Amino acid sequence: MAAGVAAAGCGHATKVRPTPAGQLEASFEFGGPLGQVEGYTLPLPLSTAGASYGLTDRIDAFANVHLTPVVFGVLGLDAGGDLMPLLDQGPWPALNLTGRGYLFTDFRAASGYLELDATLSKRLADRFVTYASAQSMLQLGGGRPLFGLALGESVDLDRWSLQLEARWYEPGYDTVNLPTRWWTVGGTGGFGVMLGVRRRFGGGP
Amino acid sequence: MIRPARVLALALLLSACGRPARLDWFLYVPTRVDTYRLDPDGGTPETTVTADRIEELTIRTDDGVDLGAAWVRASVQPARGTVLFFHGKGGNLDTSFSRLKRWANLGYDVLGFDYRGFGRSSDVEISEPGIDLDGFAMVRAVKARTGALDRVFYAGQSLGCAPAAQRSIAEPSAALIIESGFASLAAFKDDSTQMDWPQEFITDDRWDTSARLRALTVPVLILHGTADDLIRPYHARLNDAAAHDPKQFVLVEGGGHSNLPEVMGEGYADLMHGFVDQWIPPSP
Repeated sequence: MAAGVAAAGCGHATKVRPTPAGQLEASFEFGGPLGQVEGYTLPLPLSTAGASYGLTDRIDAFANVHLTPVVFGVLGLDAGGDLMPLLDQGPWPALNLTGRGYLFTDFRAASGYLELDATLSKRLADRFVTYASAQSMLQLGGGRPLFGLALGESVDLDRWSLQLEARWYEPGYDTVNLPTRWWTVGGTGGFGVMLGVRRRFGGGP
Repeated sequence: MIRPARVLALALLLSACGRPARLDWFLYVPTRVDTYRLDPDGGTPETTVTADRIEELTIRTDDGVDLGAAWVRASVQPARGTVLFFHGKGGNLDTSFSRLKRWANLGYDVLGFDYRGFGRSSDVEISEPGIDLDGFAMVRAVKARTGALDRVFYAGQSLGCAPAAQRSIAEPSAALIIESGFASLAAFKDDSTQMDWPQEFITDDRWDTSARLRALTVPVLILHGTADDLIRPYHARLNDAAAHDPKQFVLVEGGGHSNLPEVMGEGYADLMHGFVDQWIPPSP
């Protein structure tokens, strides 16, 4: 069943802040919930590649293709945008809202999802952005809404940025005695890790 | 430089042209052998029979597939009935042979077999339609010995519950026993991932036991361990909700996925006799 998640899983790291105005940002994200495979605990190899464009300093738009589902003959795409209503000022963190829609299809059947994330982030020492995020996902096929929590760090290196985050997928859901041995948090949900690499093009520094 | 347009084109190309990976490697985990051991000694009185009670068979399906099988004569003759046993997703007839011997020692003649691709059955692709043909051939083999199905019941364990229910639709026997079975692959996927993506993404097989139970009218015994760490009791509850009366639902406290006879001890024999003997007339 871990493969099932890979077939239609969502391998995104949190979008912490919008891409700056006029810049194009390419991204590659990799990781997922930790499951036991042949005795080893590994993150599911979910991966996405995509791009975002800054419309203003507070709003961007993005699109991604999901690479891992291709192995299963499933095409996965998502698109959406970021809105940052609160800037990082003084002691107060920035608030970023991310909305996106997903479509997965094997050209015989399809599934769709709508996701809304809220992320608080604080820039530290110029290069480091620490963040915490809550995700919610509406399943258009009738499944119950899904939730997640994330905590992570993003490091800016000139036009590159690296991101590492820990995720708790589906907190509250009993994940003991499932055929995939998820790495649970107190027997509920699944703990996972995500890596993100981003590169910005154009615009200012 | 990453070019999203190229990545998208590559994904589309791979999706359209490549033969995608499927989940059948998870559903079916056969162990191939050239010959069976069919060991009469099971290490316990309940799983030990004399060698002369074991008859190895090869049964051909309508599509020309040879299936390895074994008939084990009951400890009492005439037998209390006949059971057609469907094993789980892994191993082969040898690894499930103790179950056959246990049934035989409970007083029932038993036919057990390997699905296509398992054991020494023909090494062909395994699928739900293929296993349906296997079950059909086995029922024909049983009827060749019993003449009718009125004193025959089907018993499945784990994945085997699905083909046992499948066969019950086409050729109903006197009763059906579902031990540690899942409700459907869709339910399995839902429970494991909480995501509502179509099951077709990973396999064309459905194994929808719950739907088959809804359509069945034969008596059903649903047996499941509370500590089953592969198929949670949630599935047994779905199957129970789908099944019509007469039915019996038993949750075995502390029972795992494959050890219900051992956990229940004498209670397993009492339960099986109590259930089966209600629906199978005494031997003439």
